[in-house]
Amino acid sequence: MKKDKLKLISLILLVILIIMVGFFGVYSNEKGSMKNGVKDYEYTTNIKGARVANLELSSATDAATHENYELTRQIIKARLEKMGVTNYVLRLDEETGKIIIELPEDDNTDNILNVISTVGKFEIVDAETNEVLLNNNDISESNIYRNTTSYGTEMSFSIEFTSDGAKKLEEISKTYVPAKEETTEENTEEVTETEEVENSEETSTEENKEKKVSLKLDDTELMSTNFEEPVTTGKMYLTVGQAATTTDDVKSNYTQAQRMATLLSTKPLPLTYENNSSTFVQGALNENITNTMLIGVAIIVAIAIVVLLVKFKKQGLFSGICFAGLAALLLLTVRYWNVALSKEGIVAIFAVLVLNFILVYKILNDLRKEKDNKKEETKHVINMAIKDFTLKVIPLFIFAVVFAFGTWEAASSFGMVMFWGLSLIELYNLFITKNILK
Amino acid sequence: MKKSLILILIVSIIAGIIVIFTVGFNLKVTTKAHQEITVNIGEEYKNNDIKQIAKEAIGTDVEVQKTGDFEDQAVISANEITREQVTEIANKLNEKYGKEISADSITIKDVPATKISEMFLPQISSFIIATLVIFVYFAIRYKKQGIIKVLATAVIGLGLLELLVSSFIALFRIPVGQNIVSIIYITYGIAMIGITTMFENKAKELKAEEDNKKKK
Repeated sequence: MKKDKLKLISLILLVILIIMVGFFGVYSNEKGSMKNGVKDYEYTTNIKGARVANLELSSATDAATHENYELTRQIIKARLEKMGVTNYVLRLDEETGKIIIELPEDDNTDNILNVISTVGKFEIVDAETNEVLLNNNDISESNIYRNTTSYGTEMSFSIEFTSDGAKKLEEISKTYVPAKEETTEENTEEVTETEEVENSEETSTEENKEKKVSLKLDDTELMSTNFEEPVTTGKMYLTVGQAATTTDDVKSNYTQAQRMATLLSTKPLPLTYENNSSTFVQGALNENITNTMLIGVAIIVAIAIVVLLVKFKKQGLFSGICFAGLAALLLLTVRYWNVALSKEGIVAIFAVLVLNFILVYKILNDLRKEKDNKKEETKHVINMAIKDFTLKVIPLFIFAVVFAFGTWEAASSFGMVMFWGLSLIELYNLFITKNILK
Repeated sequence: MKKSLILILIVSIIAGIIVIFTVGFNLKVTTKAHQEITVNIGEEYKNNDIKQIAKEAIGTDVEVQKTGDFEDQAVISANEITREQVTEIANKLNEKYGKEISADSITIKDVPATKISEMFLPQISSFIIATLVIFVYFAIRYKKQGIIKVLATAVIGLGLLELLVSSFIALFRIPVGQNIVSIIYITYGIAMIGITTMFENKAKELKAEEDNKKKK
């Protein structure tokens, strides 16, 4: 009996501790000011805000037609998809062709904006005559490759040609070959198909005999090269920069490779756009969102405690404390499991609390009935109520898991919160509420 | 009582469908084509204060968002903003914050609409996958109740509830934007719990009947 009381007090103290930490935090004095040691909430773009960029036509041309505006929109969407950007808002003014895009703000935002506003006209031309040998139409796709060697991490991208393009490339690779004549001592570094022009110092004694191709992007030469052997695979691999040994260099090379792979995988823009302004705009709900959410949770908890107390007296009070504990534990879980909260995620927190209230109410109601009939023990009644609840929320659990793995962050946030919420309801009531009530 | 409730729900659905196909949904201001102005207030402010001023001047649905490196600029969005309204907003802001914001320095910008379909497209695949998995679960767990009957009930139940909620959104002119996603999720959740509860109760009944038969 004494042991049971001690256990009950310990559990209630534990729940109160969770409530204090979850709702109010743990403060310590750091350099003269009080700082909360509990991790902060993370929010998604629809709360935090987004970078809003205005893309406008650089000049009026005959190509400025509705069809080309729409084509531009489709190409930008394809580029965003290629770069793995799924959380964006794209607005097209069908009269003026102006595009307003909202993107999540992170280290890659500037790169993304650069890529989507670049025309992306790619050509392989004869270095001397400028005759176009291959262009975007001959490319099927482009991908990024990473290779780690003892010298560092090399970043490269492929250019994979269509069947027609592959045939043309094979012909070109047989025609544009290094000179076979003797060369001077300076010509020690042979240019391969993967080397950049700025690194090559090749000079030929008989320049006329050496044929080279130039790779151009938007009429700017990227590199000039020739082929040591025929390319029969229909693929070219180009290395970006040099093998990187620092994280910053790897990231920089990756950004360049991603830019090229994205531009080569999509069609060139039919129109030239300029990024006129790009500013970060907060979400409309951003201001005091944490306080608003906590107030919402506190109101639900307060209502639950009052209802349970009025209806079930002493057991209602204990259950109310447990209910508050679960709310606090959920708030801690989303913070420490790095769940970025969207508006939908916050709604999921409220939904989880409502579901938990339904379960707790049912448990207490069943206990009251069973107590009157003196048929089963408290523990069994609670187990049965939890089992019954579990069977009813299995579809919701499936829904939560599928959405948690979704690419759209607002939905993923909802799924993650729901997943953790439902899991906590099960475990918390099984191990905490049951032991306090029995 | 039950019959009158069903009648009200059926009428609501029909009325909602008519409104959706004739008038359409009431799109949120930032979802449809709208206008916006950016005002440099030059100090910290509360969104609600600016919203109040903007509402007094514009008199319609407005949205305020913070921008600028020091979060001291406000983006005010509304269906339509006139020069007179900009002047009124500037005057009121000058009065409230003791500034000298010139209305002439504020540009009215046209903002194109977003495509509603694009807004919901990223989650359609998740909805389809989740629903299929749930239906498979229903078919396995409640096979004794008849797979076709169970699936038909689930499809109709889910469809009717989503239709009912869509009708209410259209009828009560609730602004539709990304905010509507939460309502869809919650409706889906309620529908699923409701349908599962119905199947579980039926399963209990069947089990009780079976037990009774065994006893006899």
